Amino acid sequence: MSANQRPALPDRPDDLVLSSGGHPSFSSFYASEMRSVVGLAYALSGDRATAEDLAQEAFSAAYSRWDRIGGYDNPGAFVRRVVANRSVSLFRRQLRETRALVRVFNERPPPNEPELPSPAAELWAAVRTLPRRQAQVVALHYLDGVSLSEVGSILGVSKESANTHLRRARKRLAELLAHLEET
Amino acid sequence: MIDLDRHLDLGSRQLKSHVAAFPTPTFREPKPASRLRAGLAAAAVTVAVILPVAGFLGSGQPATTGTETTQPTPVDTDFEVIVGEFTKAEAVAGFSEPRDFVEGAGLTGFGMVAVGHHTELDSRPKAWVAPDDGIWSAIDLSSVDLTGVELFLDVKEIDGQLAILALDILEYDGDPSSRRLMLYKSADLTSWTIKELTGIEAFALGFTNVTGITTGDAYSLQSVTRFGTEMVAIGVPAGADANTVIRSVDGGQTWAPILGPVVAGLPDELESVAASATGVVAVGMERVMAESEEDAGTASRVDEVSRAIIVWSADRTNWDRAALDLGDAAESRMVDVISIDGGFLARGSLSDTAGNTLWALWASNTGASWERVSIPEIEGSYGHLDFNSGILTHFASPSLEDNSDRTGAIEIWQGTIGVSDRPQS
Repeated sequence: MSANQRPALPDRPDDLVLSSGGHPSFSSFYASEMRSVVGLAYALSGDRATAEDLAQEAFSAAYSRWDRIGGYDNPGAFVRRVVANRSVSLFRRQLRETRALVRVFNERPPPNEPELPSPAAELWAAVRTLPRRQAQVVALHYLDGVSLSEVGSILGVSKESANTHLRRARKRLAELLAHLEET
Repeated sequence: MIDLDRHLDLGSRQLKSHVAAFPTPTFREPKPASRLRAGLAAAAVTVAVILPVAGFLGSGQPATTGTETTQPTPVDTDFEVIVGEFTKAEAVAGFSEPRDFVEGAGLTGFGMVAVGHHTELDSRPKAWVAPDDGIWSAIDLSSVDLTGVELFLDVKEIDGQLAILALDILEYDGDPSSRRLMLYKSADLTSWTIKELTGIEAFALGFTNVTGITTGDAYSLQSVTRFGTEMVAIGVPAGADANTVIRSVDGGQTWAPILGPVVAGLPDELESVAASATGVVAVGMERVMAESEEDAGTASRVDEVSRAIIVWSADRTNWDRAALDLGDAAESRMVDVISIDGGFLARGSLSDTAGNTLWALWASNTGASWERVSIPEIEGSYGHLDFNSGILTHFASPSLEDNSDRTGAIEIWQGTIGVSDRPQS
């Protein structure tokens, strides 16, 4: 396959097969990672449709370069990084466009959409108010169970930097959740 | 005392369980990027613009791109924006708190006034004023009925009174019809009158930012500017789900997208548009793939980064990407553009690989090519750019978007600004 050709999707996406390059097929990669990546996007964007769109965008980006990204040691890191960056960017953009239209603790889901239960709803709403790196580190570390070294690798920062963001995020989250309990 | 670990553990498990109940999304093979690499017109010419550079990040580097254009190349010389002494404005202690954000500013009979909101948890509107002494303080709004008002969008002086445009939310149901504009007016900053406005009425009063509501048949208009008898804005046109450059020829009742194909790609996010006698420019950012030399063979080698982009049009039909100097910045974005003395001034940010972000200004005569303007290095890319009577004011809110852990209040920087002699036509 030349570098300009897109990899063909197997007929059965759930098959764990190796491509001719020796790395997992895109379809098996998608099947194994999709749910987790949607969860990450959902935590950071707060909206299911947005999360699924973000995941689709991230997997599309990986798909178009699968001949290279599929050969990396952890291609999942790539889609997580794209989702983490785009989720926060999108959230901030929405925040700018409609600013505080979304009062984080008063968000209402669209009709027929089950609500994220409490206290998860309050927790992730609070996470989304953190500076973007802090929000990303919290979501990757606690939701995805990724080590701080891996978080650093995904976000392109050092483990020490990831740890610093996590420490500050925890401090701020504790303040926000305490404030919420008081009110 | 909050048991944070319990919250994080339970919250993560609940979210995973919640997401697991979603129907499995099917991967949709991406369509070819038809909007990218639009076909070049046969008469296309290629220009490479080399601009002098000043300031942080790669000073002295030439323009990063030569730009293919489908439009006649305008004369773009001898337009230089000069920023004089640029200093941090004085403010009374506690005039602002972390996560305050300025949405709009204006020079009024009360002095310069800035309006915006506090962005954390319960958003609430805020306003600040700097009278003749230039010292900023918060306007006391404690006696004003601000029920439902999330934020102030813009400020002007109307009939000798301070007039603030506010966004009021009736229901948090995501329905634009549940939001409305309110006009707060005061002659003494103590007693206020309140009146509901439509977006079109707000335009008629000279306001330019009506985000969050539907105006005519478009949604969330910002950076509304007039181009002769027409109006141009960034907004979401009817039937679309993303913003673009839109135009109205009937006073804002109907809006149509005007940003067509652009050689080498459209912006992924648009932030601001401005018009002058020579044309229209829109600024924003695009997402590009960057590959580092390090971490070969790992996913860390490939990253998606934001890159500032400016598009321009002389006729509002044909659009081109402007030549833009971004130095050696690892990431960049463009957030504001204003018309200044017939030319344009754009504000954005540049980040290095370590994530250090500074704001930057670019100037252009026609919109086709841009030159960096020398300014002080100020941390914090977010804020609002305001230009009034030769004074450029930058309201920096460092903690909202940047990676900076700085969570201080708004910093206000002001400097004189002027434009060098323009070429004789």
